[in-house]
Amino acid sequence: MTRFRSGTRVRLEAMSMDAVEAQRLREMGLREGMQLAIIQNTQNLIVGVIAGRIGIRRDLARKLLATRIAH
Amino acid sequence: MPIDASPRLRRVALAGNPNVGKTTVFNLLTGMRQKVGNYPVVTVERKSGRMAGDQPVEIIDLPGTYSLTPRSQDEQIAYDMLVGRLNGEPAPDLVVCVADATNLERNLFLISQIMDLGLPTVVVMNMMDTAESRGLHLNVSSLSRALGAPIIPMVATRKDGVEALRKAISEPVPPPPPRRWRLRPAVGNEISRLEALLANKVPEMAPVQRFSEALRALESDPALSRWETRVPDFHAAILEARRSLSERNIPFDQAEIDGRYAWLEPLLKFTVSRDKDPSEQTHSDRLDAVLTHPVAGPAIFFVILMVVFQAVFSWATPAMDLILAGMSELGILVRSVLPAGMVSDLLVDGAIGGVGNVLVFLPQILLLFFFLGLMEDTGYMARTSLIMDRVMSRIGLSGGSVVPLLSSFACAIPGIMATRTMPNQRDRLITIMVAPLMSCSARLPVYTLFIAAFIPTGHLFGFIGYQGLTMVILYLLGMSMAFVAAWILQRFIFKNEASFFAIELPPYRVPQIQQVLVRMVTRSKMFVVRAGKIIFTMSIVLWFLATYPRTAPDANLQARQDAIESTYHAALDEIATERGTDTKSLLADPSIRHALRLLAATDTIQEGANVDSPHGALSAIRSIDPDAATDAQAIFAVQKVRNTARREFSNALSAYKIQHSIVGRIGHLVEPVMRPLGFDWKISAGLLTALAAREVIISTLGTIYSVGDVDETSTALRDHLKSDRYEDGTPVFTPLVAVSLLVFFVLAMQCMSTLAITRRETNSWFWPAVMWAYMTGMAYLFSLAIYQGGMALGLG
Repeated sequence: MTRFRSGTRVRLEAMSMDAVEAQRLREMGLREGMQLAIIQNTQNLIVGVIAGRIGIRRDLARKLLATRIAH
Repeated sequence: MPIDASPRLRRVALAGNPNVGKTTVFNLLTGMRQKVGNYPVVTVERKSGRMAGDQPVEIIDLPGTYSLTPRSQDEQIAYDMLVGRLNGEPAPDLVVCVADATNLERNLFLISQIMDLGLPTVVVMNMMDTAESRGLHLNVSSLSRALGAPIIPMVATRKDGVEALRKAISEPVPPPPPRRWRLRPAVGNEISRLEALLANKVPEMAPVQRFSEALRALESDPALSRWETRVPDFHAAILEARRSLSERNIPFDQAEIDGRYAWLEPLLKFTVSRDKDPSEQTHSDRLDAVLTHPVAGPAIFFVILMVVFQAVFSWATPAMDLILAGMSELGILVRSVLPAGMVSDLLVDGAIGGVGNVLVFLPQILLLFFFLGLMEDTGYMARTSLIMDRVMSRIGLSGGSVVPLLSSFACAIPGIMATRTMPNQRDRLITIMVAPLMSCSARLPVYTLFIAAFIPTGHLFGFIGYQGLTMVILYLLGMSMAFVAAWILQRFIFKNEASFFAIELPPYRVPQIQQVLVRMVTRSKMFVVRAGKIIFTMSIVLWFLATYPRTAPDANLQARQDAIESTYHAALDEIATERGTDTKSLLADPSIRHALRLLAATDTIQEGANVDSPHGALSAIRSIDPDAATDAQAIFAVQKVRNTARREFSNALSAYKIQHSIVGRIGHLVEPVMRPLGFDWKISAGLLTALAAREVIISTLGTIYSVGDVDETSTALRDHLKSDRYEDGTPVFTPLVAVSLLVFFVLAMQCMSTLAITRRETNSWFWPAVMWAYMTGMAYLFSLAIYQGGMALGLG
């Protein structure tokens, strides 16, 4: 997910990480198949999950596999 | 037998995700009728309060969680509380679930988990105003029917909906309908088998609870591990179920999430409409572009922190001085009322001194919690964690550690208390363990005294003062060792625990000052009551150790005291003889008495004033009775000499007493251990008394050196330190000894108040013991290396 610029809409395809970490993110509202917005991509990531915002450590965000959604 | 007609206490649990306004709702329901403590054994806060009204209702504020699947202590406590598994805590009669109306899916995930436990549930849909402004329209009645629970729309910041909630709490609420979502069949079948096993092995468990217990254990290792000793067969059955599902490539750990959201998504599509794209840029996003910018973000954060700490320092100081002055006045009052002796000493030096040691922290704590509350309430606190996480994670900490560590530069006590805002228990514990290494304000007087006495005043490269540079090095040393200690703790002690960092960023809001003040008072009250008890007790103990055994003056001191009085009386006799009278008559002479009063007043107001000037105090008397004026001057001079001698004797007596007290004796006893660091018994005794408060070492050294009332700027004490010698004539204090002592002060755990608050926050004496051991050990080794290394290089 870290390769997308701020303002990009993406679909979260998979979480390539420890099962516990993945479950934690799902409970915070991030789920496979969801549409997300990259609000900010700098030293950390801020993603828009529907109306909410989640800040994610960059190392963790690298393990979120996503594809761009065409407009 | 009389019938007890008093209504039974109704217990209501308040649950919900973090950042939904649960605390605001709790405060609105309970006002200041709150109690804060810890759940038994763990560090999780237990907050409860009585709801205002006719019926006795206890509101228990559960920790904010995203899920009941226990992965942290907070979630475990929330779950155990809801199922009535905590000692002394029956299951609640009602659960009020507070939800954020702008983020329904995620909030309803937790709410559906709670409803699955079969507990009567009321949903509070908070932040309805924000939802409306974002174009979200909720059909509350449809949502309520679909969910199977009553929903109360609320805007807690405006108190809209609070009365409806009070009414709902006071009335009976039926249990929720049966579960409306489904697990995928393979997982569902395994759960059914596990439920049947639980019915057999744990018959006392409520049937509606078996599903949740089986599901939790299947999904979560911490939940599973609890069954290993409780019902080994069930534990084995779970492992077998996991193995079977894994073989068929069925992701059992995602089954619950998939099942619940499969039910929630269409439900919300039907009951919630949106006018706007929820992910379009908001005001908060625009602010975040600046406040979380890689360069501007940390810079702005740094400025805000400097302002906060400056405010805490400067605003707290007058109040702290007032408290100390008040304690001092109280002590004087008590001494004036009670006869001199053990009781008045215990009350004044022990009890009042002990209370003062607790209350003196209060202004700083109140202010710091006020500013932290502002940062939390506005939503900025979450951003600070995000900004600083990158740097902190490299050294084994997290972004959430920043504010507590920086607070510790003022005082470690509010710094450690500020770790409550950290969601990750591992990070919180590591932060608590290293916070005291940040050089707090109590160390500053010690640094100032020894740097001024022993570090030269010259400049490095012509512009960097050695003294200032030494001060900076001391601060950097503390910080560096904190980071090293954090790295070691996370690498070797918490090595199996991953540090996860993702944080919800709530929208920026205007702070609710009333709520901030309520939280400030509640947290500060907790400090005064809980940690205060320990600090107060230790103050009494240290007073006792520094006072007893009471030692009568030895022959030399007694002779000195006798000499002072006899010299004084002999001088008075001489003046009386010259006047042709006796001492008693001399001192009873009204003219002389009046003249002495005038001299005393002049002496107080104007040192060195010429009393014989035309406007001098004695002029009027001299014109009437010249002999009285002259004799009064002579008597006054003799009295001044006597008073000075008495003061010096009192200081010497105090020094003698402390040398023979338990503290002094321990100082002598540990001297062989401390001598390799360059410390003699006086420094060792001073370090012991510094346990009460670090800066106490200065007054202890002042007492031991018979200098009387001192502070770090006392030139008298500095001179005594420089001139003190061992029996062989070598100096006790050298620059090397001073550096060794300063380094010891930077690193050692000497503040019992910090140990007390660590005990309070970790709910155990283990971690304070570890803190004391590793910090004192580190201080000893560093000081030893510096002193012995310095001596080997000929710097001693």
